[in-house]
Amino acid sequence: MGEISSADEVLATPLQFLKGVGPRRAADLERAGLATVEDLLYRFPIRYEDRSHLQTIASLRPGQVASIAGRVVACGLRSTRRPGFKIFEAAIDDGSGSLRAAWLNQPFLRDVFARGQDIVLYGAVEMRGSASLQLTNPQCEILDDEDGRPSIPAASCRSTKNPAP
Amino acid sequence: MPVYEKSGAVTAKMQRRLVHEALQRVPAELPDPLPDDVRLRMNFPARYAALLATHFPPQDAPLDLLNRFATLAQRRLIFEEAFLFQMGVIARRRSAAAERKPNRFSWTIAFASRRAACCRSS
Repeated sequence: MGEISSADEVLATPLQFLKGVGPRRAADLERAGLATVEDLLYRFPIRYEDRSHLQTIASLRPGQVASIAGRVVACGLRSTRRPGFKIFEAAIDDGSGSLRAAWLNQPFLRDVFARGQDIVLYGAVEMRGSASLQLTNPQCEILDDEDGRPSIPAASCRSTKNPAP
Repeated sequence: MPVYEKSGAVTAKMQRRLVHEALQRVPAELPDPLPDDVRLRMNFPARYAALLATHFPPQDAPLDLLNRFATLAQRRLIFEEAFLFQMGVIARRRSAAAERKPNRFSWTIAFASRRAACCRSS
């Protein structure tokens, strides 16, 4: 019985007792609905990526679903002929080549991405024009964004229905 | 590699690191709300093993199964939630039944006669 209660105690441990979690981060976690170790363990990943098989941009073929890692070399918001419809585009370079990522109607991404960021993108590769590849509405994660720089929920990368954070 | 939904200031990366640490603190023989016979009949892994394999899947775990939340570990956790929910429902129902025990018969009659009235009128 003693063992059982100690395991339950561990599950009930406030997250502040984990390494690297101070009062401020604990408050952030709590606001996200995570107060205890059990809360954390029962908030499951929303998806899985094979980062051990990141592909180089040069090796991508249209029609494929791929994860790539690269650096944002340029990005910006583009207006279209349709009034109010905006496309956020980013040029990503991984050393082997570059491609374009486009997010339709998500203008808030302007405040999320910046030149020089290292990001991981996951999505279907499309051919645009004769020789350029594009990922449309890819899922994304900005690497090294632990220090409070703006980042984007993976979920809102996926769908235009989610409001900006 | 697991990707978590970012919520507020909590990044996916932070969450990954914290979950990793949490899993090291929690004892592997975690008390399991699922009775062993139920669990074994479904071929499900134990609670700790399921949590571990869901947050940090083994290298050979098929990615498409993972993304459909269809691995045994993930299904066990889904089942666990449904099981606990169902237990709660049954417990509530039992205690409610116990409370109205004195006039349960009259309630049944009232229900039956109302149903009969419905049938007649239709």
